[in-house]
Amino acid sequence: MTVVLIFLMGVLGTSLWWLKHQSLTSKPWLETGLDNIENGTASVGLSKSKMGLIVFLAVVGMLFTLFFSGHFMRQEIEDWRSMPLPPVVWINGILLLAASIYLQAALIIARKQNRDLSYLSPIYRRLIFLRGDESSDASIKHLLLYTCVLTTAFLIGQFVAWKTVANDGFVLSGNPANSFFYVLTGLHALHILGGLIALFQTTAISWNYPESEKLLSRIDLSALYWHFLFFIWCIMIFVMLGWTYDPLIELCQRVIA
Amino acid sequence: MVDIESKAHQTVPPAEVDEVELYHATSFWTKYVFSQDAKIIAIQYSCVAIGIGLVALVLSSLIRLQLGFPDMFDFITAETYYQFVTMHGMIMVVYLLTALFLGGFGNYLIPLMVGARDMVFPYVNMLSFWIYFLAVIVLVASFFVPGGPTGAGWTLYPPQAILSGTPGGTGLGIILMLLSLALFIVGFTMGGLNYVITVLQGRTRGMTMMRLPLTIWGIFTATVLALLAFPALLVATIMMLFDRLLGTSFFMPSLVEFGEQLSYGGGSPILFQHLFWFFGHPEVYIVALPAFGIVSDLISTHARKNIFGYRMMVWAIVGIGALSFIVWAHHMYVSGMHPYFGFFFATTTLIIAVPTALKVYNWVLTLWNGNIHLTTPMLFSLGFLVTFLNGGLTGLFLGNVIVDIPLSDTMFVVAHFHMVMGVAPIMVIMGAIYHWYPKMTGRMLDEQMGKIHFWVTFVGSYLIFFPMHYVGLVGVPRRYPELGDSAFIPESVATLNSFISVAAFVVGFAQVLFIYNLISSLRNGQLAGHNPWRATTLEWQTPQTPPGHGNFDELPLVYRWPYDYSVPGAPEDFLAQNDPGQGPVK
Ligand code: HEM
Ligand SMILES: [Cu+2]
Repeated sequence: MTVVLIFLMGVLGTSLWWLKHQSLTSKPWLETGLDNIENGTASVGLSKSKMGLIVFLAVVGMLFTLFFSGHFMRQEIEDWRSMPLPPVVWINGILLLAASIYLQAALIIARKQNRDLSYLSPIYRRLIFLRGDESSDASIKHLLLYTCVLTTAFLIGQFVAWKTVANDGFVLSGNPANSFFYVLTGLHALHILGGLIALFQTTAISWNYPESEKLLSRIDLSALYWHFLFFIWCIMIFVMLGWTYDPLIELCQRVIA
Repeated sequence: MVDIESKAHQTVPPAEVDEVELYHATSFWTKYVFSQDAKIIAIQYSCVAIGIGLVALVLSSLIRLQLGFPDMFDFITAETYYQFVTMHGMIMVVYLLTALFLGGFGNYLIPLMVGARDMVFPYVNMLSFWIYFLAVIVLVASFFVPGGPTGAGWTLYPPQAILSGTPGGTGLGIILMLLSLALFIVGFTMGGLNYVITVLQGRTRGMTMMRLPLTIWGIFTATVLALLAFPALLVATIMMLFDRLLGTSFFMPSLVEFGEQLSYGGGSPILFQHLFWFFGHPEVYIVALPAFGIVSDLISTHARKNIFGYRMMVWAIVGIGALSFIVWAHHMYVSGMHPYFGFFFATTTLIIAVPTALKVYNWVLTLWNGNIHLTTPMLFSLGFLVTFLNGGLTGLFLGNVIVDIPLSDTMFVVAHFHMVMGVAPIMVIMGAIYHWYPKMTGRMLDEQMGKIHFWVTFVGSYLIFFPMHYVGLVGVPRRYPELGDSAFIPESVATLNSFISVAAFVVGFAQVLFIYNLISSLRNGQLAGHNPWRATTLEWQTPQTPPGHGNFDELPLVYRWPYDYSVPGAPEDFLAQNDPGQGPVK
């Protein structure tokens, strides 16, 4: 449960830091009126939906951290036999990373609507194979489309990965290492799928109503979600490869010994 | 004291909060069934929660029938007894208390008290209720499947939970239980996002965090806890479902059952316990914190006195919330652990008692020299104070490893947790219903009936649970349908058990009076007016009672904290939060 506590410390730390800025030491019984309150209403300077997504991601993060923690505790037991990851996993990782980069590009352009593409640095433009002569609307909708394609490819790739390991005899109930592989990647894929459905809608909006006001905020949320899930993906691979040297556990063990 | 002359004449600044576009329902279905109005959703949540809670109440009577009068009822076998106990515990904790405090009171009070028109994501809020409803349906369905519901105990410990020796273990019972919990968690997360973001982003102008009523602080912090703690239960349910349905061995060690080697191997039941209690302990505070918050407001309003130590109360709520994540293993003392860990968890457990005791002192000091009106809400608040204190004290005993080990799994523990998280929060819920019913319906509940209801419930609960401590101390174990001829159990335990059972039936029956009151007052209650308790918080300042769609005509501006009662020099004995105060208004 160490990793859970570390994650929790992060979340609680952020919340306490925010609370600190809420004039928790003010004396509300002495301060009447609207103007002389230190911080006004002081809602967080983010849109409601962005704030909602951030809190939701904290919950998702907690969910995955708990699974990782279960993984660590279970792998201590001697019947654990690590499972080799199928190579297609690495391709999938690259696909997801690419999706993240494309979405970020769409976001950068959307933020600067009415400007031209020169806002994206040339290197970035080359990285995502963007022609320089498109209008920003056109490039946004193309970028979103590529993201959808890449993410779908990722999901197919995951399916291939499952097939490969199953064919190699690593079935779900064979060994807890396999079970964790299927459950973790499955849960991750479900989250991607949920995001993808929303992204399909966003893409549809960008094709049909490129002027829509909702577009920017939707792209913004999707980008955050994709980056986060890519991040989780990386940690997940890390955990499943068994690179779990945990200095804290080490320390505790030494203290106790 | 508050200087009411100050700043009384400032110009009104422009609203800082954007007007939100409200969803306007047009048909009966979208208005009352698939409603996106937090107030309707709150009522839906409350009715379903109370409904299923009554089922749990009936189950507790059946449990008591067996314990009080063993061998008298043929339909209660050991199996059905386990099923009753399990479903009773799970329903009470999750489907009644959590749903009612957060889904019910949270939905009703948050938008009104922070001065918002509705929750920030009304559509998600509606989904939240319907998923909760589905979870309840799945739960109820498990009573009717072959083999019946699970009898694994509300803690659902593997390996027994999914073995054939436990009722529902190899049938559908445990599967439906786990599915229902997973649904509940998904639904709750949707609602929880709403509650948190509405408090963070939906407050009206002037409503700083430090001007929030403690009710909102309690519900807000509890929601944050729940959002972080429920995933642990979700992880546990998912892994257990895999173990049960797909033959994995997350939790299941290698086992021989009826001479047959099962295909499981190597799994760790302790892992489940860690996950379960990582959720389970914060769950206690998910239920307690809203109760703390609400009771603070009830006491302050009905004693016409500002809450003592508001700042300290806020800090204590946040502090308890944070600490509640590092005490979970005090439920696992008997599972075996390194003595240093036992020491660590005993220490953190005792440390939580500090902010908790602080709150109790502050409530008492609020009452001190107050102008106490013994209304029904006040009576229930006082009942809460006494009961909570009582349960908290036995908690200090149980927090110590050395004391807990002999008492673990005895009726002493049952008595302890019923005092602290059974009776005490229920007292607050009752008080809160008497307090806010007038706002929700426009009519008062009958005070006479309310007082009878209070006295029977309060005295009755004591008669049930106080003697139960003694039953536990002589060593009567919990979750035992009957005691047989155990040598160490004196004859008097049987007498005491019958006595407790009779008290339990009386208390259970008294709730009929309450339900009757709820229904008949809808029609016959005295008209309440918009602010019958002369309270300061925003929900009492709405133009209509019950508040209309959108809550306020124009969003209120908040000039003061919520506890300006008995302010010297004020025209009335309270100043509402949106009251700019006297003086020459320009
Ligand atoms: C009139 C009210 C109630 C009565 C008479 C009552 C009675 C009982 C009894 C006799 C047991 C079984 C003890 C055993 O043999 O292990 C029990 C278990 C339990 N009760 Fe209650 N109860 C009441 C209300 C509540 C409430 C409001 C809660 C909410 C927190 C609650 C939570 C539980 C839990 C968690 C268990 C443990 C279930 C298990 O062992 O799996 N009860 N109750
Ligand atoms: Cu606990």
